[in-house]
Parts: sequence; C-alpha cells; structure tokens
Amino acid sequence: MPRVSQIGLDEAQGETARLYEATTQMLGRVPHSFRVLGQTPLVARMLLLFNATMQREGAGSVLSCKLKEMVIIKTSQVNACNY
Amino acid sequence: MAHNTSLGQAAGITEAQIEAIVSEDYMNSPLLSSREKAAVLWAEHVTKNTARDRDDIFEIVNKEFTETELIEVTLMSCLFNSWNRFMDSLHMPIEEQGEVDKIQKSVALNPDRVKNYLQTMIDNWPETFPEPDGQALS
Repeated sequence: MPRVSQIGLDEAQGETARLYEATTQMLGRVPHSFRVLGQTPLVARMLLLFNATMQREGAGSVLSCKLKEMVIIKTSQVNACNY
Repeated sequence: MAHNTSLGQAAGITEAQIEAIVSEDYMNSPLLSSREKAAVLWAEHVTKNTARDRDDIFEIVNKEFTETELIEVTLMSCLFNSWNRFMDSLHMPIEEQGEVDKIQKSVALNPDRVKNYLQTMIDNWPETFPEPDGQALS
C-alpha cells in the first residue's frame, strides 16, 4: 500500500501544475515520484531540473545516457529496488 | 527496475546487456566495454558503500574515466540510491507498463526546455515561501 498520496494530473494547480507541465516536457510523462513530490512543488521543481539534466544527455552532463542508465540498472539491482 | 530500463533500452542497452549487468559475473561479459564494466563496478561499490575503502576498485575505475566523468558516474549512482530509498520507504506503487512506455524516449534533454522552465519559474516567482515547520499537525 502506498504510504503517501499523489496529486493527480487533474487536481494540480499553480506551482504543481507548472511542475507537471515541465515534467511532461522533459520526461514525457509525470511519474509517480513526481506526483508525490507535487505536494512540495518548490522543492520538486529544483529536483526535476537536476534529475533530468543528470539522467539524460546534452543539457550539461558529460556522460552518455547509455552509460548512466547502466549505472542506474546496477544501483537499483544492488538495492533490490523494483521501481 | 521497470521504470529505469525503459530509458536504458531507448539509449541502446540490449536485454542481453541488462542481464549481464545484473549478473555476478559482469566483469567477464563480452557484451560490455571496459568503460561500461568500470561504470557498473563503481555503481556496485558506491551502492554498497565499499567504494570508500576499496582503493583497488578505484584504481580500475579511475583508468577508464576522466575526473569529471568519474564525478558524474559517482553522482549518478548516489542520485539513484536516493531515488531507490525514496520509492521503497514510501511504498511507491510500480507503474503500469502503458505509463512507463510514455517515458520520453529521447535520451537527449534539449537545454531550451530547461531554459523555458527556468523562465516560467521566474515569471511566476512566488511572493511568499512556505514557513519552515509551519505545517505541524494540530
């Protein structure tokens, strides 16, 4: 059972709505993580920029997305995280 | 790892490479380059926090990357250790495959999108910010 609630795409207003719009622009969708973080949008907006810049390539990171995804796969596996 | 492998596959990681990465024997896999092995090796040791004391591991990894790259590889593993902890601690539900498939398949992030969001932030800069600890349960 989820321990915290998500703010749905239809309910989002103000800063949270702007966050979801930017998340869709950058990630293609609003994942569960950001629907939870929508509760603290002034923090989440900074995390989105950092996360998207880190995970993808071309906006400042010097590594390829491929290599970084390999790092993520191993990290998540060692942590036994299914997400 | 459903969420994460989707972008990885868009980035060109094959199913066989994923299997190699999650195996115990990835350092001997013919499917990974020496640079990829080093990244995976470092991710494993950063995650187990054995990177700190394992100079032998650092030496292997350090041969494959510039200092800037090494910093990013380390930061990447740290960032996803953080996400993993966040997801697990809050019991985040796994997403439906249809939702995962919507992941922006472009591995590139257009810097204009970052700029646009920053501009939107500036244009909508809040007049007030939350009061620290102001949400205490009554």
